[in-house]
Amino acid sequence: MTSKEISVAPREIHDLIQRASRVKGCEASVAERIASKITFCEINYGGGINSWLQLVADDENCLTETFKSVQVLDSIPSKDSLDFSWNPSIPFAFIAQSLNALQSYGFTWECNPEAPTGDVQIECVCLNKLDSEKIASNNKMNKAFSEGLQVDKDDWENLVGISSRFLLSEKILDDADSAVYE
Amino acid sequence: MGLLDLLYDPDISLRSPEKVMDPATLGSARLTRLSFSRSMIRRAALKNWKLKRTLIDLDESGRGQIIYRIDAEGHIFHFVAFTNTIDESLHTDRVIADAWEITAALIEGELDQESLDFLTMEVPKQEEGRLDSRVLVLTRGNRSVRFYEYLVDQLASGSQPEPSLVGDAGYIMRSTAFYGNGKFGMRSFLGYESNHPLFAPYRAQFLAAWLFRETSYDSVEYCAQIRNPEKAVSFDKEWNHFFGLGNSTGLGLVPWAMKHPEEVNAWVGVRELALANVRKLHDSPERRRLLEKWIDQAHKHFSSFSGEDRWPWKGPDSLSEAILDIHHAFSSMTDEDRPFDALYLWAENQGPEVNELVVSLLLELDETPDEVIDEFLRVDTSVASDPSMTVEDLKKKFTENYSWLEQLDLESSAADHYWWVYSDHAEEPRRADRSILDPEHRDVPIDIALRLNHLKKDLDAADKTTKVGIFLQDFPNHGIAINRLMKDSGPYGEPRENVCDLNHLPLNLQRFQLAMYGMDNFKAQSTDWLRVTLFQGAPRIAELNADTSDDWVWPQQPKREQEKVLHD
Repeated sequence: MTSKEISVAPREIHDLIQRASRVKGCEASVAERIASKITFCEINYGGGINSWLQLVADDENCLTETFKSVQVLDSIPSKDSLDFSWNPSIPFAFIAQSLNALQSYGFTWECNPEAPTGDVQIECVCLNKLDSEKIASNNKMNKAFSEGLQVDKDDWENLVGISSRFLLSEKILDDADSAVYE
Repeated sequence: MGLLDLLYDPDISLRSPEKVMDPATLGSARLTRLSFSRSMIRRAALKNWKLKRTLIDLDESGRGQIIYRIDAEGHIFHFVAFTNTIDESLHTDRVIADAWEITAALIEGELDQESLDFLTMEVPKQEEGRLDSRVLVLTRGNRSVRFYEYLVDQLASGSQPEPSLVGDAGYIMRSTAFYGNGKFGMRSFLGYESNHPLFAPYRAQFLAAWLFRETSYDSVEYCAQIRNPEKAVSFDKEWNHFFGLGNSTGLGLVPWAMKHPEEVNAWVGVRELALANVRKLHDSPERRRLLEKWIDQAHKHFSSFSGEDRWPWKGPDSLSEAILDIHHAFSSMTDEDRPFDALYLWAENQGPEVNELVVSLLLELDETPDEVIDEFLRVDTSVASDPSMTVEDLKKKFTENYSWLEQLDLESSAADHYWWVYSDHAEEPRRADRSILDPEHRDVPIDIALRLNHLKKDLDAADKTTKVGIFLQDFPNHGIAINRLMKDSGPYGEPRENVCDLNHLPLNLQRFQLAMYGMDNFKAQSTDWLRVTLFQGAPRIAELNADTSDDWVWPQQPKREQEKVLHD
């Protein structure tokens, strides 16, 4: 780990992205799915958190629209060969988990451009059905759970700052007579 | 067979989810032999864990450091506690405290200087600190304002405590949080490999809690020794086991229960399978003796305390009477081929608290191996959704698993009275009145009953052949509810209530979870929080060996010195 990195647990990525997505206007179910996608990508490909930050930096309100545009990959394609395209392009982080899930149903995929990390913008994905199912390895996931994950410290602090706005002021709650202990 | 296979096996007579997951039943739960505090100590004894204090460095006020080393099945752990004193005005049971008299962490590995420096820097900061995967549990708490100094003074003067002054609460220190599972950078629970000694859920937290309790004993005895080396004594045999660890619990348990249906199903499921095992047992002198021993132990425990009922639960006086009733009922069942089933059936008509007390007693007869229980408790929460499902499949699942929602009056104005939120002070969970505060995207989505009710309406209006993935494209807001439907968490995954309802009582879900942990002595402080104790009666770490028995729970309050003489 370098001084520019910080060790985090997978659940922390999930929790912060979920909260930050709520802050950026997403409904709870949508925020939950986005958090799942970003966490998966950060662990398996890297660049997940950065892609989320870039997206909201470009357009405060585009999360839900981006999410809707990639939902098509959450269904099993009815054809053996299929292309999907996005204009404007979308971050790989939003489709990595779905593509890996489709692998377990026997589909291989290719991206244009090729997608080494989550923050790469994707314009097109080609799916092809094979005879055999491919089960993705869980090695990276297991390592992240046992050892944590190194992420960019600036990105993390940026995300912590945004997600903190999900929390409600204690004073407002007290003034609204929300029940407390004592 | 897996847990779900057993829970759906028609040949096993299990209690119905309607009864078991009813809030009143959940809110009457008691500790059992399956509770995490007991299973942890059984494992420690069976597997020959070696625990020892390697450092105690305190001043006469108890400020300093205590370290324990644990050698467990080839793994080395350390529990490192930092102790302090703070002004009494800073004591609070709420998670929002900024200062504590004890902060501690359980870590895996050898404790070198770098690790100790790291812990010294980060652990006292608690939520403001930053940890890493070496750290398994982070905890904190305070001394009992009433008892700590008194106990030190008593031991320092060569005396044992006066039961009437300290016996009612049963603890020296009180914890307010046990963080784990990836919080603040700690190791994730899924990061424990399958042969890890802390592989079972909450085992790491309960090892930490046991050592927190040990810290409280060591702190008092050590301070007494410093204050009066000539006269100071240690706790005698009875007091040495009597004190547990206090704990106060707030609303955080409610979101946990609503977000973890697989875990809730497993916790309840193992208990219900064990109960089913016991109910079908035939009579035998050995089994009868064992149950009578436990009835006697429970009676001695509750009758050694005194206390009236404290809303909404029975106090020691009532429980003591109830156990006498249980004893009489069981004694009369001499001709029953299956007396344990007969006792259970009798208990069903005695109200939920007596019913669940009998369940707790009966479970002492269960002999399910701990390895099986541990495996059942380790649930898979990563089950992928099935995109081939249709709206019709979802509606069928709704009918099969969620028809109970119709009884909750989810269309009434009271149904969404509350929404749940985390405050910006230590992320304390709170609930807010919707008519006063608008959630504005800050609601914690545990409104499961309401979400499922909304989903049902949209499913009813949709084409039944529509694939779930397509349906979700039109209704992305139903993702949480659809996941709930698609994942079969098991028959006991859902508390049968709406936690946003005006009349929702958080204490029920809180008590259920605390009982599963192994906590007892439930004292509700309001509708939203309660105090409990755990590890009362448990062995001290130096006493642990392969012969350590599992019947340490429900200790009697120690007698006064004069009474002991009379009894002797």
